[in-house]
Amino acid sequence: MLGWEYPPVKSGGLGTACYGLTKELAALGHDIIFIAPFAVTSEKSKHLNLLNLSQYRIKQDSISLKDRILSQFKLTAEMKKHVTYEFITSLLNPYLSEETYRQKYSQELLELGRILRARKNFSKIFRTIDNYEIEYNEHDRSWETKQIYGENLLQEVYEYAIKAERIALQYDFDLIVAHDWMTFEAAVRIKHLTGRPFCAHIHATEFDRTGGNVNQLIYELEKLGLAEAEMIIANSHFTKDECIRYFNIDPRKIAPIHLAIDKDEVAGEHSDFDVAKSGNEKFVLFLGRLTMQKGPEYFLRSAAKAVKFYPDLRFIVAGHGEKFSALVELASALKIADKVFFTGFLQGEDIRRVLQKADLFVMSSVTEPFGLVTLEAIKANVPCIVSKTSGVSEILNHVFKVDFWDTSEIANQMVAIMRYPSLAQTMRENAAREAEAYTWSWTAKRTAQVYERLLGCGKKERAYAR
Amino acid sequence: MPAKLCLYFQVHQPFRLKKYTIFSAERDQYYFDDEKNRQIIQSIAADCYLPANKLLLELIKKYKGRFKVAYSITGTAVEQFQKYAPEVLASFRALALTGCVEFLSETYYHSLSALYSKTEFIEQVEKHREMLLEQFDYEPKTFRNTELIYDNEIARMAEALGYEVILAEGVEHILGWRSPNYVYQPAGAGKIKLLLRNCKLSDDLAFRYNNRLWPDYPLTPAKYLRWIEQLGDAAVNIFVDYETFGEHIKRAENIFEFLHGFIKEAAQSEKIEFITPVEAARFKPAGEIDIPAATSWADTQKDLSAWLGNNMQKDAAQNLYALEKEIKKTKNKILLNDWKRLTSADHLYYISTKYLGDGEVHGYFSPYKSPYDAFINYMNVLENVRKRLKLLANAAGREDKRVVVKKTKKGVKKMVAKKKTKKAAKKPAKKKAKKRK
Repeated sequence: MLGWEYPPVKSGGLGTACYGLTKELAALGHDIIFIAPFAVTSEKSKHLNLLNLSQYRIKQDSISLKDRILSQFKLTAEMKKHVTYEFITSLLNPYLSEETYRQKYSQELLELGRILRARKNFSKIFRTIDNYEIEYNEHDRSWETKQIYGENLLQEVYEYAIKAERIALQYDFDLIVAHDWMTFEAAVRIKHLTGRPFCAHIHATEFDRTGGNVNQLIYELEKLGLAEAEMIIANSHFTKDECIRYFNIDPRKIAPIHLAIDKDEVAGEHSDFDVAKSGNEKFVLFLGRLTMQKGPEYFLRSAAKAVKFYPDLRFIVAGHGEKFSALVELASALKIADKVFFTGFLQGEDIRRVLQKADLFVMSSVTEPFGLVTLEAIKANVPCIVSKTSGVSEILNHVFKVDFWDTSEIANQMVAIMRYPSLAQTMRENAAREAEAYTWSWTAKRTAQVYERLLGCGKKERAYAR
Repeated sequence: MPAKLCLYFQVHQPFRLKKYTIFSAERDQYYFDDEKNRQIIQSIAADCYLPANKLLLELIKKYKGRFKVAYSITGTAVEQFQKYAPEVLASFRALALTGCVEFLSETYYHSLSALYSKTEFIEQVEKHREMLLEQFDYEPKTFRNTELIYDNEIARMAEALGYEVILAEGVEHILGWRSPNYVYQPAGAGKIKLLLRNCKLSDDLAFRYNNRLWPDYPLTPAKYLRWIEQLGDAAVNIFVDYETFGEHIKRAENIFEFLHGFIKEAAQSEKIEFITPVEAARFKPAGEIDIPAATSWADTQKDLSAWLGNNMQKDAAQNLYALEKEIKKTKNKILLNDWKRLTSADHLYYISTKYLGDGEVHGYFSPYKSPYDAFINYMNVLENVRKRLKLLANAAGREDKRVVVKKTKKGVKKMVAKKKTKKAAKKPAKKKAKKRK
């Protein structure tokens, strides 16, 4: 399994999802090798073999790749053309050719792979062409200071791909699973190298993250991964529809499986915190990255409207992101700066604490492929208002579903939940019962079914090829 | 002895509320969605009330006294027929003139007042009585409470109001070994008779008729008749929503053909005699039925849980009835009328979370996307009612009312100048109704 985040190192829902899913998959008897770019082994990684790629370095090789291939193999003219790219150079300086890299380089490399594969000794040759080696350095700690989604993300994605490919050869496995575009390149490479089936998990598309203003390269990577995958698992019908609409993927190979939440993950008595609160103020929580996609400004605009009707309202904006300073300014402009608290990025225990403090959770996302945090809020006994354009809104009935832009309606609902305890209580009780159905064990079972179907097919095909 | 067959149809339409937010509560004093109500009334009139009335009128005339039927029509439905579909009212009047139709008494607003306020309950029953007298020249003798909500206390109240017969649901777990197909007496009451709905036969028609998974699908007049005839010397009460014919079950499912065929065969059958509820008063009761906790005809639970099942519903109902005394004190007719319209049980029914997600009956009838939206809407309206009440109370406390009108907001002007505006508003409504005729 290839993933970009794994707890405790994580930024959003992806890491949580990977943890929940792998834990239950392991319980079902699956052996999982999880390759993450940065990872720390902890309690949460006991059930799988977690590989931290930062501890592997790429050894540079002085011998020209081109020469090596030419000297070792009799290549056709067409194939020579493909290997004129200087692999090592572009590897080390991916930004030089970033625009063209995906379209030409990788496609042609794959093309080469296909040709070589036809010769049946492809893996041996491949190993030779990519004549780099990786070395393991246990004491290397430099990566610890890195950001999980750093400035050189594309380069890291790229390094991840070639390192993962190398490592994959050291292990025996039946299935390649990759989470989101960051790992798709790696998955596709491993697939072509080993001939194992590839199942892509898609948690969000580039269209969700950017609101249509896509990064072409990422889009291409996503498209490649989705097109190459034998099976795609989308986290909601919403995401499935996006895959069909934007990536032109065959709907038959996309299985929507909703995410879940563990019972013990966010536990806590709501009443404990009522006591700790000073005065009558009620807390409304926004929890998520402060980006366009998450719609924090709609939250603040709703807040400004609601506070006129319920002056005891206080608002917590938890998360970090590029919109932070703009949001602080907006809060001042709306004259609610004294009622809004910006907490910065929260994780783990802090999330639990902030959820327990909250009387209401609002997810005003412009697009939200799933919205796992809603399930966390429900588990913490917090009533929720969620955007209609979210994956969770497909599975939940006992939450308010609202158009993210309809700030008056959000304010209307905020005030009602605060004013009428019977409403909040009914929502809490019913939503908790409803969310119980969505456990990781259920999600993992359905995921495993997809995997097994895929393996069944894969085996048949391979047998047929022999 | 032939089997006695008693058919009774419920006709009810509430005044549905419009989208009403906290912002509306600041300035808007009109709560009802006239446009939606008009559309619904006119569409159901065309699909159900008019064709069904026409069919039954023909059958009554054809079988001269052998076919009889009972209706319970709520005041809120009649008011809306007057406004939006006067021809429906005319067709009911034509039915009333045949003498083969009984009209039942109930609460004018189809409310739960029997459970919350005896004074309000009596007022609403009286108002409904007056309405029946005025519209159909009919003096009702039979009482059926909202949604067949019934308990011993309600039977006592009905008897005290002079009714001879009362209707209730034939709840299986209360009846035990007893059959619903007899006339009973309520426990602790005097002479009043109790008729129980035959759930199985009623629901066969109302809910299972178009269910293709039902083993007895399709239901034919002959089959249905046979089931009733088999009961022998009994009083079978089939009570359903009138909207079953053509609205819940569409014309395309041949429901009108079924109704026609069934009544035709039943009227000709020697083994069946049509009666209306009031005629059951002359039967000797088979025993006493004790129902201390309220039952109803709703859902599978047959209790109050469709209207008062969750805390929001209880909260909403308590908030509503808590306003009663103060509103009556103001003697402001517009405010009182608005409040009374809010007592319709439908507003609470929409807040039910019982079957949310299953796409069950509640969702079908509700104009809201979710019970939570319904609750907010309702509570925001009540918030405004409270505001008006406060303004009126303040105004009443001052000596010179004209000063108040000048100084305060628009809303107050409206309310104080009520007499003029009310008359002005009534006239054009009547004119419109005439035009539609």
